[in-house]
Amino acid sequence: MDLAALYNLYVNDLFTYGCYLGFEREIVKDAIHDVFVKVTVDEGLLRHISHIKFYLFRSLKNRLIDLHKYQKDEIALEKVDPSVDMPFNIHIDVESLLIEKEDQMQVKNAIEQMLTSLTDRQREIIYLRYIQEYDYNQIAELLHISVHGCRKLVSTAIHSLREKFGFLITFLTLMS
Amino acid sequence: MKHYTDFLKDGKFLRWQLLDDDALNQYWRNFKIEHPESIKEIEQAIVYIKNKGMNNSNLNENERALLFHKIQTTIRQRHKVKQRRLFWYSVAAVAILLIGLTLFYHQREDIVITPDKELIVGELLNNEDIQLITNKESIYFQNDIEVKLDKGGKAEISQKNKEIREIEIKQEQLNTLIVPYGKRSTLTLADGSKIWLNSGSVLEFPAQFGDKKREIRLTAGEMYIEVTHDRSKPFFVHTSGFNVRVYGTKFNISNYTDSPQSVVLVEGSVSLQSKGHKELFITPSEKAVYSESGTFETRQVDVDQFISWREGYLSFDKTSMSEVLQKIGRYYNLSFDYEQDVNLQKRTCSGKIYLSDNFDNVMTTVALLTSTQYRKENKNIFITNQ
Repeated sequence: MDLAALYNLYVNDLFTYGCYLGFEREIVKDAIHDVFVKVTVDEGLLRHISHIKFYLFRSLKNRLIDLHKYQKDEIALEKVDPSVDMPFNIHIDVESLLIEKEDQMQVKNAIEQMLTSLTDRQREIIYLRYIQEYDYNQIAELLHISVHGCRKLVSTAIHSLREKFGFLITFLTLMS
Repeated sequence: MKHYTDFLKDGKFLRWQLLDDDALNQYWRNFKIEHPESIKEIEQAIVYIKNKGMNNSNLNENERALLFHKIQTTIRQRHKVKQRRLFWYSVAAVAILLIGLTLFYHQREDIVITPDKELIVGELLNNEDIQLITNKESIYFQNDIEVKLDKGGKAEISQKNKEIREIEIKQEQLNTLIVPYGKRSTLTLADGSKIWLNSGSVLEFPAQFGDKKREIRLTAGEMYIEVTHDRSKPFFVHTSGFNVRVYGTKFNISNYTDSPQSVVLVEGSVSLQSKGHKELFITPSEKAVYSESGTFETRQVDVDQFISWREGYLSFDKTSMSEVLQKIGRYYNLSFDYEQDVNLQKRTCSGKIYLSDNFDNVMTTVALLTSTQYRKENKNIFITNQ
């Protein structure tokens, strides 16, 4: 695959991921720039990497973590753990839904309510697992945590959503 | 019947989508069996969340194209840096001389962009400071400087609208003057020889010369030098690829990495030597272009075109747009980039362009001379057909 094809295929996903991690647009763009330059200049990388999309995601995240540490160091010298410390906020787009404004707001609220009841890392896992369809091993690597820790985060998330939004279903399931 | 947006408002549905578990999967399997008419709507709701609702990139087309353009530019530069220049050697004993050097790198199979074939995009780069490294310390200057060395190891530095500054320069070490793109400077050496450094140049020089010879090194860029006559001490200019030997004269050396390797002789006589080849003498107004095989091709040129930068203007005679933009780019610290098959770059330009402080004036002249149009948006310059 040549660079242009690769770029067109993944730039939107990479940009979204970077923005969700709380970085400014321009910083995300710079990081994407660095990732694609690296992947091309370090010869043969394009040919030898089997999971190219995952490779790009991981490179982007690592690049952003570096930038994040650097920013933090400038403000306060305290050591921060980027895997815990970084925000993750999913933007919900309803503009493209061809329905009335009021309905759009309802959809947006419904999804946002659910997401805000979770932690940043849980939201990140949802994004990586559900939207990007990565497996637990890959997600654990992106989050710099163990696979076990990753599964645990998922089960607590399921649990808390069920408690807050799913009484009825639990009830129905028990009945059936 | 339920519409797909109804599902999007439904907590049960959303939980199942975001974080499915056995109970939810069971519930929705049953739901589909009981309401087969809803299957299509459910699928539509899923497609919506996955592709758009939670994964909507707001990177617009323009940003997307510019970012790709930037990535390509960096990659090209990195590949150029990786190449090594071929060695060649030349000796000069002339009045005025100009040497241009380039590396002959194998153009990589180019990665395709082609947003619009008849478009040249330029970007104004951030200006860096001029840097003088002496006594292992760096001194920075925002504006063009004039440096004068005296015989006692003192350097006098003048900068526009600023007081003259005096510094001590140690005898033993080589000093370096770095003039980034967008800047120029002059340097008077301890023997009185005067150097004009063009944009993007790096020069190494001693505070004092030795007893037998005078030597300086132009690591990158372009310079014009008037060498003070001294028969007993020959003057050498070293570059990464070759050396020039002179005995009191004026000449110009260009050592950019992105221009063809060439020598232009203005007055007197010069001989060029490359490894494994016979010494070649060229005559005034002759330009010798070096080829990878170690041979030179010569032709007559208008010398003014090659030394006018020093006087604050560029002179062109049926010069290609790509070459014009390259020179202007260096002077104003702009990076232009375009595909090889953009016809615009083949347009030629004849006339003089004054290198005014007002960049818009310069681009207006270029547009006029090449029958093109240009548009400036923030730091980007777009050149298109008229």
